[in-house]
Order: sequence, then structure tokens, then C-alpha cells
Amino acid sequence: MLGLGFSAALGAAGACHPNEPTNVAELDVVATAHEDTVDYGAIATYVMPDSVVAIVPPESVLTTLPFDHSHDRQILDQTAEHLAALGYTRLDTYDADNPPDVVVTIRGIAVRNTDIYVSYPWWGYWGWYGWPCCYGPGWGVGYPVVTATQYDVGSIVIDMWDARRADNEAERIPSIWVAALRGLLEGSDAQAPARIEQAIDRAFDQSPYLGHP
Amino acid sequence: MRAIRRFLPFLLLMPLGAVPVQAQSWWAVTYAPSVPLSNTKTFADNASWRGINVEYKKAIKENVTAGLSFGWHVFDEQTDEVVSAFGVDISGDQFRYVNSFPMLLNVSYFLGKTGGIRPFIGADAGVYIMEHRLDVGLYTIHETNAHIGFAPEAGFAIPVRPNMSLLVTGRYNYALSAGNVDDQQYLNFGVGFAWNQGF
Repeated sequence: MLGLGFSAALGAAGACHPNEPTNVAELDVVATAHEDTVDYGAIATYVMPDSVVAIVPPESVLTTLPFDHSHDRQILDQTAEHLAALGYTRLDTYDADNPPDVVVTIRGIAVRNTDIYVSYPWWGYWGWYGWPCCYGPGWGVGYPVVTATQYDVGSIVIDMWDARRADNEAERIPSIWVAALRGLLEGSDAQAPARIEQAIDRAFDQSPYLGHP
Repeated sequence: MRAIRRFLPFLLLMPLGAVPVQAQSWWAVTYAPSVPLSNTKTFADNASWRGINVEYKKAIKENVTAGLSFGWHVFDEQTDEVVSAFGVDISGDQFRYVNSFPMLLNVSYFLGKTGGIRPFIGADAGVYIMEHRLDVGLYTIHETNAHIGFAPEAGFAIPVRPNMSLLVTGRYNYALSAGNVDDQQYLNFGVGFAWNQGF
């Protein structure tokens, strides 16, 4: 009878975490942060450079990959559409005499991550695997198993900078909203536009405070 | 050869499955679907179709048994709701899991007569080992705690052949808060068989 229970348990093994992600798009994540004290409803105009700038994070100099610019147009247009829908007016250029309220920039980052795990499985090595007779039967630590996984991650970062509070002397401009769209650089190219679209939509959907009353 | 070495301990344990049933004792295995309640439902809303209970009872006096029960109940939910923490709003497909492993002592009182349908009520108390896990993107947040808990239980055993009964049970599980995890509650049902003697 215990055998039956044991078999049932074996059958259920692997069921600890059912319905795990089966599509790379299910691993996409969007994180947004904003400054509570800002009245976003008072923001009327913005400038956004017409390019996605690839950057190299200081901590990822050795692992940064070339950023694929083939989707820049979609990223820029979709961001502009959302801002227009929220009531922001885009200015063509930055005019120091008539500055915009905010500047929106978009950055792209591609990084190769490598994770290495070392594990020591507690297998029951039963017997004498040494020579001439080094180990008796029993449970023991098995040989270490080294597992390496490598995956490429892409991020799109949309920043909103408050030009009204720019400190020209200190050359500082506060960031009042940031959206980080992060996903695995896997899956088909055909899937990429839909993933980008969903991520940008999510960024604005979860930031209702950006809207004008 | 190495495979044999690895599985030899299990092979040596297998005969335990053939231990003859003792008088006035009861072994039971039930398939155990569950319904989450309260905080468990908030975290993982789906009914659980993955679960198993194994229990042993031994008569300590007429119509009264004491024993042990072990279980494994899995809850999960996939959601894309926004999670806010530390001033950051995070969205993405979240995969949430609760794995509950109750290890309980139980006392049961049996109604009816030996050889007939035996309704019973019981009280279980012990420890729930619970793993809460949330996967979002490439990140995993998980916490495993030992929750003190208790579980009133009711059920009935229908004899289907000598020393064997069809078993139907219902159990309300309440696990107290532990670590950063609030108290957990769920209903769990059992359908299976009891190998018994003297019941």
C-alpha cells in the first residue's frame, strides 16, 4: 500500500509548479516608478529625440551586446501615441527660449547574462566506488554538478525628465517617471513587435497618474 | 551500476509497502483536490486539482483512533495584475504557487458498526510546510515556512471488500502565520481507499 502511495507521489513529482511559462513573452516584465509630488496634469509639452539610444551600463561593459535598432520606429511612435492620448503636446525641437515642460528619452540595453550554479546532489552512492576499498555503503555527497545558463536580456527604458526644474549650473535634471521594459532576447522576430507593443501599453496602463484631468 | 546504487535504498524500502495490515489499524491514500480560502485564495485563486493525502490510524479505544497524516496540496494562479512595492509598479505574467505539505497528528471518532458504513469526525493538528512562490519575468520570490496548524475533518468509509473501504473525506485546513506569510486556509477533499482491519 505504501508502494501505491509512493508511486502516486512519483506521478505527482514535477507538479509542484504547474503552468509554468511556455512562451518567452510570458517572461516580459514592465516596471514603472514616478515622483509622487509631481502634478503630471500640469505638464503640457514635451520633446522626445527621434532615436533610441543604445547605452552600455557601467556594470555590464563586458557583457553588453549590440542593441538591435530594427524596432526603434515602433517604440518611438507608440510612445508618442500614448503621450498624445494623455494630452501631452510634442514639440519638434528643444528651444531654450521656449523650453518644453518635460523631455522624454528612450534608451536601449542588451546584455548577455551568464549564471553558473554548483550543486552537490545527495545521491545514495551505495558501495565501493573507490579503489581499493575506500568507501562503505551509505548516503553521501555526490560529485559537484556545475550548470551554466546563458541568456540575453533586452531592456527599453523610457525616461521623463522635468525640464522645468533643470539645474543648469549643476547640470542636473530630475527624472519624474521611468518605465523599464525588460524581456528575454529570444523567440521569433515576428513575435517582437507584439511583445514591444504589449510592454509599452502596460507601461502607460499602469501609470494612470500621467493623464491630464 | 551507478543507477542501481542510487535506487538501492528505495528498493530496500519497498518491502515496507507489503507490511501486513495490523489489527485495528488503517492505512489510507486519497486523491485530494482543494479549494483555497482567505489569504491562500488571495495569493493563488484557482481550485487545486493536485493533491494527495496518506494517513495512518490505529485504534486506541473503541471507535476512537489516533494517527498521522501527510499530504501534498498544490495551488497555482497565473495573473498579470500590477504589483506595487517600494515605490515601483511591476507588471508581467505572474506565476504564483503554493505547495502545502501538512504533517498532522489526528484523533478520530467513528460512528456506525464494524463492517458497515463508518462515518467519522476527526481533529488534526501539526505542522504545514508551505512554500509560497511568485515568478515574474526572470525573477522568483519564494518563501518556505513551517506553519503550526489544525484541521477539523469529517468523512465516511464504505466497505467495498474485506479490509478495504472507499473513503470520502473533507478537511478544513487552517495554518497560522509564519515568517512573512499570513495565516493560510483551504478546504480539502479526499476520495480514495482505506486498507483497514477491525473497522
